[in-house]
Amino acid sequence: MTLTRRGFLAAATATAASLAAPAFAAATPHVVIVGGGAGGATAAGFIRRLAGDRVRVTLVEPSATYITCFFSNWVIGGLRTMADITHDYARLPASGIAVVQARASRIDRDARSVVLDDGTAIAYDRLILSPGIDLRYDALPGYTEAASEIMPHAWKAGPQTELLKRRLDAVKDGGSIVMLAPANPYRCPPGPYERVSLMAHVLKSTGRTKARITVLDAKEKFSKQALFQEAWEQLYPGMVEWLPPSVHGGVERVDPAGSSVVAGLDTFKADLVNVIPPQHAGAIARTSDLAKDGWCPVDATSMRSALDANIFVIGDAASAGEMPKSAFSANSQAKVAGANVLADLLDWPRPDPRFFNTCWSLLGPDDGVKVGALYAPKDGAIASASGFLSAPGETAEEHRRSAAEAEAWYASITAEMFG
Amino acid sequence: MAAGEGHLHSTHLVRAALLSVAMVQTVSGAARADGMPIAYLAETCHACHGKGAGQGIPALTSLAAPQIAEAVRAYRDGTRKNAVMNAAASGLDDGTIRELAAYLASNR
Repeated sequence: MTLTRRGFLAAATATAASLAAPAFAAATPHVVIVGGGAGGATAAGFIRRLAGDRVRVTLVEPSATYITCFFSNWVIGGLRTMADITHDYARLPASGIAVVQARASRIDRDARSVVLDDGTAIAYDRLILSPGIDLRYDALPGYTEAASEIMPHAWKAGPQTELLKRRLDAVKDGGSIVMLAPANPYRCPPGPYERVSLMAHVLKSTGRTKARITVLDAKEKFSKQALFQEAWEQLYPGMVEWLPPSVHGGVERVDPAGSSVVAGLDTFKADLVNVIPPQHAGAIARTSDLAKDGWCPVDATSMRSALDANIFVIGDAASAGEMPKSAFSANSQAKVAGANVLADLLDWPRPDPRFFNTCWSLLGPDDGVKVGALYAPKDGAIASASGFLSAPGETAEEHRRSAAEAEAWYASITAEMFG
Repeated sequence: MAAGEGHLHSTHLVRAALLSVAMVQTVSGAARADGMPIAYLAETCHACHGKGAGQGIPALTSLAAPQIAEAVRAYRDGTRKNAVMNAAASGLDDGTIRELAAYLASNR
């Protein structure tokens, strides 16, 4: 059962007065979580599992269903369906999590409340903010929200994923695809290159080996570069071309009507243009003055906002040192933040954080590579303490095992998020 | 810690046993304050070793505490190879591994 806003208010009438009556609020502290993705949904479950009824947990999320951006490349590659990556929050209330299906429009930091888009205020003792990313439609001339219907980004999973898949399936043999990959930092560093691999797989497996994918990158190098380039050469020869800015001269603008991309040294016309635009923290983090230069600075031991001691920021919106923006990172950060929230509210000991991430990427079906690390606070920043990276030239069996790990991880993390 | 290893060993076993009993007996499956650090650590395992484990990633449900502890130590020491687990286990001391294994085996 998901509580509506009205239902939530009815159920919580007594506690809604917590601001006016601090003594009552002290009885059962209230943790409000904004955003039901890999960060927020994980944090909600973690806190309830550890603390039980010692705290109240409210998760504010506008969507009834959640489509994971992680594994959406598998849908584009024809290896998963949209249904496979679509989840809901129906099982969370059984764990004592109040799910409020509404958009949080702002944070009243002085009053310690989250204000929903209808004006309802939900008071919190601690707030965990996990709003993900917003795409920047002001960063690339010509690329607007309307343009994304012609040049899909598919960097938030949902209709955009399906649009890109349809457009990919319509590319003819001999056709051309251009992908624009953004500068760092952005959600899922190896994601664009996994997508290139799986788009090439779709083209190749349907006999369209004369189609060509050109990546116009905003960076001179990228995540797992040697592994991806090895795979493109071996699996998809002649189908993938990657161009850094030193070669294309920098992307200056896109022309959706003409289906072209204008770069400093050339203009690229294509049947399909996939624009992965620059990004910044979700709007509520920026409009609440919790971000600097687009991302939210946090304490490296706890994920506590550097700008508000009652708020923790986790996931893609956080500026988390050397940790990449990934679902695994968000999940790991959720547990660090959750433990520190409980330490604040229940006077429990603070564990030493063990931040962890693994990014698995598919090169083709049952063919995966991985990069990851254990991270720890160092000199005030989250830094890699023990990392790993698949080596070029690994056996097919090693790649098969990495792909199988990715599948098992997906099943586990989504079970942890959605029950 | 080599000189006091034997002593630490038994102390940790007793602590781990008491800890796991306390954990199971609390209401709502909730952890007790003194078990927080190990409960947190155990939670970090579940991103991978959760309900999806069994095919590409081993499930922990069929393993007894000593088996879990032995595997984690072997990953930490590099005598057992898996890139993800070698990093995940790095820096854990023997006592923590024993407590973690006891917790994981008692909270399924």
